[in-house]
Amino acid sequence: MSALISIFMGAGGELRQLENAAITRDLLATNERTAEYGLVLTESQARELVEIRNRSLRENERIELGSGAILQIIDKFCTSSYINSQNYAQTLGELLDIFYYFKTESRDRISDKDLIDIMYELFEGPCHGSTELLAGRDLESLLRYVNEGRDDLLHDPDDDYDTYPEIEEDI
Amino acid sequence: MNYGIERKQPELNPKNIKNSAYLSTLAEEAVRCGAMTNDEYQELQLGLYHQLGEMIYMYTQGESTSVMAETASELALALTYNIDAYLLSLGNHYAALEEIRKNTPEELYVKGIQAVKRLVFETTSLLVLARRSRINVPNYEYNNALDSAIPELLRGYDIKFAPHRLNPPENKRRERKYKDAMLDYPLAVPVVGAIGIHYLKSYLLHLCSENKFCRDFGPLAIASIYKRFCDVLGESYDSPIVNIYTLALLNAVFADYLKKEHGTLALTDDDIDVAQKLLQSFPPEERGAILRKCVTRLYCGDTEYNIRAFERLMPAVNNAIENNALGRLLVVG
Repeated sequence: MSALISIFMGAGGELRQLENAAITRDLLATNERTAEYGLVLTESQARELVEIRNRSLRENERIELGSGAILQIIDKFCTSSYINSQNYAQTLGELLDIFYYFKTESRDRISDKDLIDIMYELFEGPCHGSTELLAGRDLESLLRYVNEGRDDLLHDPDDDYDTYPEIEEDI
Repeated sequence: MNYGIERKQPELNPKNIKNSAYLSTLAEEAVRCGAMTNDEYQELQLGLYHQLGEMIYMYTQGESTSVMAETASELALALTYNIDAYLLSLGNHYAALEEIRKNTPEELYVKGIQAVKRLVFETTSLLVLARRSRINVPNYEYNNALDSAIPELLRGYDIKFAPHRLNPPENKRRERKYKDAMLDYPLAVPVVGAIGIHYLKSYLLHLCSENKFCRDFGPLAIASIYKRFCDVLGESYDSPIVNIYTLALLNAVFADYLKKEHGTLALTDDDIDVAQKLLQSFPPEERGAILRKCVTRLYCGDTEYNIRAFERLMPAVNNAIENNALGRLLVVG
């Protein structure tokens, strides 16, 4: 891969800078839609989110070209009853981190849309807006089933969380 | 004003261009010598970057905008492998550079897929040729390569997403994905540096040269030398992992040196003694020159391939002569 890095990434990381600027613009453009829910990102918050995204991709050994997941997360979570103008940017950062972590840990067995839908259901339901519970309890249990090949659990949006077979130490 | 003196065109230094990373090293060399501007190079990078994004989308069937770094690196390799296949097929650095200028990376990728398809077709034809010229011996690895291993690798070959890998079809894989399957039959001149379909094509080209050489000596001569080799080793006739052509080539060269009847591979203990004594009296360089002359006189198979194969054997031959062990290197009886 070493010979390819320079041609894909550019010796001075120019492409990365261009991409960061483009994602920042995309994030600011979402304000148009989210403003009706009272949620607006400032330019510095958007830039910070881009940094969180880049760090999270690196830590989870992932590559994403373009804005990708963050726009889908905003689109879904802007209607959340637990997100307000005070915690909007911070929650988005945490959700993004959780999203990339579970994508990698599930070895990409869950599609972006399915994972975001599940995250939303859990966040709005049993987690009551807590990203800690989402990451540390509910999604971890779900991940175990996914890794055991129980991906049938992912496709039923009406599936009741309480019917998931619990693992004792997690209760 | 140029006073009638034409401006010298930038010259690419071929030493800086590697076939194994053709697009990347050619573009870098073009920038270095002024044949490509920095802006053109950046545009190329941007185009490749977008094309990689497209490939990620195709690979995940639109279900994911991100992939694991390992997958992205494989897709990047697939992208450049296909483009390289097209550019290399042009056979000229300047023509390749012109194509890079005229086409977007997406267009180059599409042309690359066509070029790799042609390579697959050529390789399949070579497999047919190798099977038709098959040596009639019960060696398992040799026959398995022709009957099973190579056809499986062709069936499992993934032009779009893993053209740089060789793997059997998904349902027959034992190993994890990002690892190449190996062909166990050893060649006299191994294929070095080539990957993907280029490797398989070169492997079959070498194998066809070896088959042709053996067929020129006739099935009986080859079967007899192979049988004797297995008997001496005490191995069953299907099991030895040995290059059959090498056995024939060595015996053929020494038979020629001893002026034995043209086309014979049979050597006796006395033949070995004579060759040993005669050749021991020469210094290694002169000995090498004498034996190389014998190789070129064989007129069997592909002379150039025979020379390359014998060059690789030369250290072992010298060693055997100097240690009175020629009998262990050749098949006697």
